[in-house]
Amino acid sequence: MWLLTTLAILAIAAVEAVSDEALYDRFVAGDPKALGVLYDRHARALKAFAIQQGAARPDDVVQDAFLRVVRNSQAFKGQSKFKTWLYTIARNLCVDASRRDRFRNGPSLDAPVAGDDSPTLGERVATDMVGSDASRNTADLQFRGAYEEAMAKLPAEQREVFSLREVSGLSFAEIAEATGANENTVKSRMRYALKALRDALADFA
Amino acid sequence: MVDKTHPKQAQDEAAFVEAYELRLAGGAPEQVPPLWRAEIEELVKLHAQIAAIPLPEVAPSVRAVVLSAAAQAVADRPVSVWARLASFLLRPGPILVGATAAAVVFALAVRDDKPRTSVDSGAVALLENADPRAAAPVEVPAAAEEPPAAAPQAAPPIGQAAPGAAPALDQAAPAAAAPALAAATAPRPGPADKAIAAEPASVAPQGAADMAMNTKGQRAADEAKPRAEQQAAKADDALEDQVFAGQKARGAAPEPMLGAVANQAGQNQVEKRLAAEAEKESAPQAQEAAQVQRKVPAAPAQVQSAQARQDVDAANVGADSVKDLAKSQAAVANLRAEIEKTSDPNKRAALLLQLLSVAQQSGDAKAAAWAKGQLAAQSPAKAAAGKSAGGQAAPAEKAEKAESDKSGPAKVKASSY
Repeated sequence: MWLLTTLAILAIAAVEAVSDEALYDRFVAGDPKALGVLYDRHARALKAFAIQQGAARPDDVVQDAFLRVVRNSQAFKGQSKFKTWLYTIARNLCVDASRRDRFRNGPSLDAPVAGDDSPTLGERVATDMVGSDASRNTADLQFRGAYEEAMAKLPAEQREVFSLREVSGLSFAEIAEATGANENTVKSRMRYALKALRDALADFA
Repeated sequence: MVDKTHPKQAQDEAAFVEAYELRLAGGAPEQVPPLWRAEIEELVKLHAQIAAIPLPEVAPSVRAVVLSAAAQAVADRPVSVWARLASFLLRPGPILVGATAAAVVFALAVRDDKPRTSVDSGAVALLENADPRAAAPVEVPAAAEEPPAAAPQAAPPIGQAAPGAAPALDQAAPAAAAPALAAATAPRPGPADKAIAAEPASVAPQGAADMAMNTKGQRAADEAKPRAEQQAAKADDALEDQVFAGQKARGAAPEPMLGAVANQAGQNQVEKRLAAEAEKESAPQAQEAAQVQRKVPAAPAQVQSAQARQDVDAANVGADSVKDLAKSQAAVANLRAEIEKTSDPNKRAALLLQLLSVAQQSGDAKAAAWAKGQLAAQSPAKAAAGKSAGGQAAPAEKAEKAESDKSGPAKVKASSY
């Protein structure tokens, strides 16, 4: 009996420890549920990355990124990590969206959405970013607001690197691969982003 | 994207980031260069506050769209059977089932590895060392359909049964040769037989089959005994007919002496014919003895196979001597039985003379002495009868004469009388 229990525990642990690449292989082999597991692992961090990249519709970025993963399964050769491939797709989508929005006459982030007393679009994006947890306290709200404001002021390259490193958890090598930049350059951008955030959030440190 | 950072400066910035990462990974503050220590400590606190920010939720509709698209893509995509099988087997259910099956198989294997008894080990060792020819499919040898004269050259190899062996045995098997034949065909009570006999048939099917083969060979030898006895009885009847024919010829002769001589001549002819028949019949008999020996694989053990080969070789080498001996012994035994049954003095004297002749030819001194003794005991009464019959020679004298004729350089043939 103890042998069966041990084997069951080992089997469950093995399933839990399945890598992203193995899950994607299972999806390619014909298991759509494997893609569901991948979606649950990365969708929220991918939306946070899209928000910090200034995407007007972060959910659309997430959806389009995963749809490309589904449709371009033959393009993934396994030479890089699935996570790097996914964020590369999302980054390209964000770049394309920012280029479209540049020529679009959309509402200003500083303008109220509904009336004069309603929050601005920027405040609404920040609210979306931090979620709608009612239990969060005022200090946290203030910090999150300051953090999002400081992030919005960062240069795009530095914000991109900082977001991929701190929020998405990619290594510097993976960030370099996703952005197409040198690893030392990525680290330099990270250094400047840290310095800017430290200066902007000095009151909260 | 063009890197406009100075290399030296870039190295310093990279070193700062690496120190920051080291500190986040759990490194001690003392491991950080003092120049950056205060700044890195502030960044570590900011990192903790940023990490505490929950990630935003994604609309459920996005998940539904993605999963439906994935299912559609899988349905539209031709997936190989092997890929589907691998996808199925990598799921928790099949893994658990496989692990359970492996555990059961392992437990059964461990259970079967208990130590065997000595009898089991011996039987298994015999089965493992079995002669592969014993397990070969039985072939019908061509010798079974060929005439007996061609049979010795077409003898089947050892280990193969000859279906025609038992019927061939029926054709000729003197009673005296039956024990030797049975002894040659009986399974050897070696260690292999003991081990197989101790092994139940359900445990060792191969051993049981071999036992059945042994029993079959023994049964064939046993069946050969009464048939050989019947054949010997037929030979006795023929011999008796010939003797009576000789007596009839003697009675038709004008002179009693001539009748005795004719009787002797007839007996010699009968003896020669019987000897020729026995020689013809004993040749296939010896061959069939070898065939029966080959037919009995006895046991798959190499020991018994070697024993069987030795017996076959011995049977082949000594076939001539065995058949001569069998013929002579059969004739002696038949004549002696006939003499003891016969009450007629003339017939008894003729049979004694014939027995003496056969015993001298075969070198059976005991039978020859017995025949001489019987003739000597019968001679006084016969002497009187001979005188009354007009000078007929006494049987003892005739025996001595016959002996001198056969041993002398100029043998007188019966036809000269």
